[in-house]
Amino acid sequence: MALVDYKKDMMRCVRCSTCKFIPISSLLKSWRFAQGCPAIAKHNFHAFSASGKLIMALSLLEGRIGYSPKVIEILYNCTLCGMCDLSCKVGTDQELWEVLHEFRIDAWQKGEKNRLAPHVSIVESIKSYDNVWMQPRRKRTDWAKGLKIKDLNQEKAEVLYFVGCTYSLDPEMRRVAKNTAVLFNKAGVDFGTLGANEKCCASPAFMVGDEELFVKTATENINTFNQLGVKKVVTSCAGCFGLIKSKYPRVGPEMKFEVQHSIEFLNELIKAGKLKPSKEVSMAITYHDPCHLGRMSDTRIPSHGKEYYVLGTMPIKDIPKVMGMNGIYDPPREVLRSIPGLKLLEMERRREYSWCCGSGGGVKSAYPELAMDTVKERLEEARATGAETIVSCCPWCEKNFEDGIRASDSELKVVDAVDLLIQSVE
Amino acid sequence: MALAPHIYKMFANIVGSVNISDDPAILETYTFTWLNEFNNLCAPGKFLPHHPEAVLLPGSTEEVQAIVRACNRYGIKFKALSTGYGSHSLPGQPGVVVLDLRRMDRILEIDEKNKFAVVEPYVTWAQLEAEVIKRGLFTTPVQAGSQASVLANLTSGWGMNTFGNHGGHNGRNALGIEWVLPTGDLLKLGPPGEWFTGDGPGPSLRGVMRGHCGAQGGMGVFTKGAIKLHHWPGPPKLETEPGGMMTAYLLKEIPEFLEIVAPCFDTYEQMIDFFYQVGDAELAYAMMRVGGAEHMFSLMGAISNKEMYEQFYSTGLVQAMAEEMKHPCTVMIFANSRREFEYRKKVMSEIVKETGGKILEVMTEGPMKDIMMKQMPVALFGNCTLFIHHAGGFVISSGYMGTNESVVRHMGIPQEEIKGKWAKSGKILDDGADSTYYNSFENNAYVYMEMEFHYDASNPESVNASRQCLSDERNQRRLEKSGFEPNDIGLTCGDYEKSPQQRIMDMGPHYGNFHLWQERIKRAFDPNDVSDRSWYGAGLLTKDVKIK
Ligand SMILES: Cc1cc2nc3c(=O)[nH]c(=O)nc-3n(C[C@H](O)[C@H](O)[C@H](O)COP(=O)(O)OP(=O)(O)OC[C@H]3O[C@@H](n4cnc5c(N)ncnc54)[C@H](O)[C@@H]3O)c2cc1C
Ligand code: SF4
Ligand code: SF4
Repeated sequence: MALVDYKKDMMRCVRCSTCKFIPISSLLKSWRFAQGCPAIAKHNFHAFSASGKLIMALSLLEGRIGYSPKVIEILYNCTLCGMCDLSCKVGTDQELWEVLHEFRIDAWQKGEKNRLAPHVSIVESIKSYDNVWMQPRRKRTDWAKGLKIKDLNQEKAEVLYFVGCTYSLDPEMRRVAKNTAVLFNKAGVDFGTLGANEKCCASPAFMVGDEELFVKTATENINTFNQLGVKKVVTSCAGCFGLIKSKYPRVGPEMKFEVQHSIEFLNELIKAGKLKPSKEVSMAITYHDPCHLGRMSDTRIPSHGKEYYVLGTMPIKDIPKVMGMNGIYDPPREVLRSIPGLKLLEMERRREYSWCCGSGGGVKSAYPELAMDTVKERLEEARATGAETIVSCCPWCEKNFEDGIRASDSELKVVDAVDLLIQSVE
Repeated sequence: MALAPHIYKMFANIVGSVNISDDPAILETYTFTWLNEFNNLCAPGKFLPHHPEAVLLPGSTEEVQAIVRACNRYGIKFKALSTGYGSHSLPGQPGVVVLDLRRMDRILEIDEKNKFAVVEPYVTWAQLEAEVIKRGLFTTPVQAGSQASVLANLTSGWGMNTFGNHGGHNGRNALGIEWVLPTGDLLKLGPPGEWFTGDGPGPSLRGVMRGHCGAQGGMGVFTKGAIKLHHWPGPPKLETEPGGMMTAYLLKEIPEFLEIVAPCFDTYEQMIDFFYQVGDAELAYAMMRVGGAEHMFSLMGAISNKEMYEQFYSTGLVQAMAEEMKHPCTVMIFANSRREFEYRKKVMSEIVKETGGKILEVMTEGPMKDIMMKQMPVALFGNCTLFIHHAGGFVISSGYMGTNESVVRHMGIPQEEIKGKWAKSGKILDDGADSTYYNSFENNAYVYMEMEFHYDASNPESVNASRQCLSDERNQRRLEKSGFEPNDIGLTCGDYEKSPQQRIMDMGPHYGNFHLWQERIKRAFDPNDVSDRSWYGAGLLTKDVKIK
């Protein structure tokens, strides 16, 4: 694995700028919400677009430029949301997202001067505490006090509820884990958690380019989940979900379990009649597709530059072309539609071409201004639907929405889909 | 050579310090673009040999004027770009500051009754299309793609477009234009405060502004402009959904009165006859000849090269089509009412018959049926430039615009033979297409033709073979059409081994010495020679030539 593997993808960029926008006219619905890439939308210089980063990577490989504070600033002023990858792939087989990620691995490996302080401290937290919040491990169980939940360190269950660092440790977010567990119990799900032994999924390490820590943690987690003998690993965090489902397979060990986001699982429980949303929740809402529940959860197998030619010069990458269409889009909408009284109003940029909330890829910690501008843009789009509440299924999105709402005096409210479901279920 | 600190500071004062950069990493991304590996300025690499001095992101006409005036004062050259797709958008010489117009991105007005829109440079075709379609209007996006700039196309480069048959060439769709001259003075084409025309009393300056191909950044900066809009018979929104064999997206519902007809003809004479008759009857919304089976696919994009290969080449479908289809045409019928629709279809069918056209079963049955009806419109309306890049590179030869007869007379050589030789070498895409693209304008008042093919931009052998193939093609034309100098249309097309200026010099004598006239205009409008002229006029090579 090396940046140089993707040199051909870099050279085939035609600098058409499609990666800056929602692609093709028939997906794009207005002048106002035509942008696709948060990084170029804020910084405007071509370097900040995906194409710009490909060009910089090529230039680096050719020895024309070296790593510098500016290169690092540009590289990490990117939420790794993957929108550019979809836009480019509407017409090509080019790898974009993999290049952006491999670029980060290269930077991280090439020396400490390339590592941003907020990222180093998150990575150190994962190494020292197994979570991103520098919290003692025992606190992971605080959210579950008073709830009947199996301890899978001691007992067996069909489902592992993988809570995630933020839902178990952030006092404002714990309610989501709690509501989810309550609903699972109501539906009679045989589930449990790893309690204090749950380890971070290592998404932040993966995103900032610390490949070593990612591979180590992911391997350990896969082995643990396999040993538990669970049928399903269910998580409420879109970040954990996207990583475990779509990126863990590249680590190696066979995954002998299915990975689901809790919203998919809850949708199945509703369809099976095990949960009955019946109380009216009267509200006009809009749903935000988190990147890692949506387009970035589609399992990606990197090509590492492997290809062969047909018809002389047509390159064939023998991997499935991933355009994010198999992300989790309908289950959250079906859950919301099952709640009486809710009026779901869609934003223009949705499903696989949703606009990022601005929090991911290490941006929230290292470049809060980009996170803020990006979330404000999304809040504006949400407001344009006429909705009073924005619903998501991701702690990172929710936290960034809260910050955006506070900073912009917006009247919008933000909730998790599970907060609405629990109100409706008798 | 970097800008002197006081000059950098002066520019920063104009645009704000976050909107200027001379960082090498940022500048590097303004040295790389489409066709660089072909172009004399860069070949065989992807990067220009020189960096711009700085990149500036002006946010208003006033800022553009202030920059241009400062350039005049300090003798600094500048080059404006909109979305920047193609070598012509980058500085052609050292010592140039780039004006990236990305921050000027507003649609200022849509006049529904008088059918025009006023846009800033960074408004894209897709953005304009999304807004005007809601109002029952349509525009004329170019094959460069829906992400390219409307204003750049109107004012500065070419204007051939998919919907030209009913919408016309974009050089003619340019109405009122706001123009920061190379001196920094502001000139408004058309009556003051009005946008509906680019002409006012007195001689027209539209020709001076763009002529046939545009000044490609060599004549100042266009900051606002009005584009003529056209009638749209479809719904206010085109909904797509994932699916289909080729494009990632299909039209959810085919607009009620839309149909694609795809006849083919044995000879150019028959095809021309067909174009004339359809033009006379004003039947087509869009009309073109695409160079054979594969090229048609490239209009539609591909879910993946693998799938395209497996479904269309391994199955022999393309080969069967290539065998049977000569001069394949694609015509879009789009009507307002059932009666009109039936009338258009009926007349079209009569004309096909009368002109000896054939509608092959392979196009109306099996996999092609859905492709033609559900995917082709997405490709045409959606207009994604990347659909043409599935081999990682796409290049066009000389192009020519004129009447059907003149175009075929000058350009109608058996391109498949020339291309076939190189395709068989395995170094350019062997797609089974003859690679001729032929597009009609204003109900066939004039047409445009070019040859195009696909290569792999990451493979120097492929790049080289493509250059040789293009050279063969030009030489063949010169041989067969004595006295004819191809390469009329595109200054980035054709003789890639020569510098853009040299290409202009070579072409000039064959086309009324236009290069000398351009040079006169250039000297009158840009006395300090600050608007980067690398792609315009003949000044770099005629510095010592006295032009009266
Ligand atoms: C694959 C491909 C296919 C193409 N097909 C077509 C086609 O079918 N028809 C067609 O007409 N063109 C075509 N083009 C050419 C060109 O890209 C288009 O004309 C496009 O509309 C220009 O928009 P842009 O944003 O890419 O312009 P840019 O690349 O930014 O600019 C184009 C030129 O205009 C100058 N310029 C841009 N904006 C301004 C401004 N505001 N003031 C002064 N100068 C300016 C630039 O310096 C440059 O020389 C094609 C290009 C490519 C790469
Ligand atoms: S990365 Fe893809 S979409 Fe972006 S400019 Fe390059 S080719 Fe176009
Ligand atoms: S991953 Fe997202 S933020 Fe980064 S370049 Fe791509 S679209 Fe922009």
